Amino acid sequence: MKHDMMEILCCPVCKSDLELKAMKEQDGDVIEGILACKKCSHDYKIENSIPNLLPP
Amino acid sequence: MSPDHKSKFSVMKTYDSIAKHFDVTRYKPWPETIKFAERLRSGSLVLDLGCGNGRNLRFLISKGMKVMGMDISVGQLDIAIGRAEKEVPDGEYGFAIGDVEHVPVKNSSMDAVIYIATLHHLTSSEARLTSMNEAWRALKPGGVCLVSAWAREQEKFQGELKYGQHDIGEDWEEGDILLPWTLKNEGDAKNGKKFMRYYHLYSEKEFDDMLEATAFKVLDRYIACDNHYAILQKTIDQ
Repeated sequence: MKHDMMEILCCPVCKSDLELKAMKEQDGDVIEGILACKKCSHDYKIENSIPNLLPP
Repeated sequence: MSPDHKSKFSVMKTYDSIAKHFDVTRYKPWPETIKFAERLRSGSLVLDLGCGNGRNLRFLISKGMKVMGMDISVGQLDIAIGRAEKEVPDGEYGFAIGDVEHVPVKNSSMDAVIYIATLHHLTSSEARLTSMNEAWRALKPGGVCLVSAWAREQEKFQGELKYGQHDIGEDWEEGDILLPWTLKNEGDAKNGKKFMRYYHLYSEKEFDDMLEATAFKVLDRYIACDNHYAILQKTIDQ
């Protein structure tokens, strides 16, 4: 997932902004990480560079 | 046949299971996408809801648009990503696993949405309308949306329409059918297996009524190749 995706992504449930915590990066791509919604207290995972934004 | 086939989870599992075979047979962009792209500028931000293997979004990327592909099936996304890396290496794009009823995209962020051959896989009229409202929400004022769904008035499905009720059971609603996909993938343990796909086939009136229930302005509405199509706009004053 490229960092500029953060400009458009939001929480699928409450539509709040998400906070990116990158755990593994390669050539500017986030390979593993978390997209945290503070309002919902939910962490959405990024695995194999694909964010999984299915509602919990 | 289990009534469980009428569920989001079942549609997702089927598209995961048939991803490779599906990609062999369905890789060209839809002619309607090509026509719709003429309305868009290079650099436009486009959201592809239910992007599948990315057949439509690669065309848009090749025309200079920045595209986000979203699908509920990881199997389909894996193929979409692999193909995009190979076929449009210089393009700007991103992907996410997501649900069209809960689109993870900020309000008024997209110049255009394409929502092709996906709406008819949602298993209730409420879910289908919710997804349309999500497409509207994601668009910038002035933004446009192309939506398509399979039409009920197809001769080839008259038999299936009759059987749909029996196959789905008590959850069946008029227009619901299950269509089998027979997997042809040499070396796959599930080669030859039938995977059921749920569809809700729209009548002309039902599609019009759904559009009417949204906040969209209808710019164009037509039937082509057994599909209902609409080109919609989130008007500036919205």
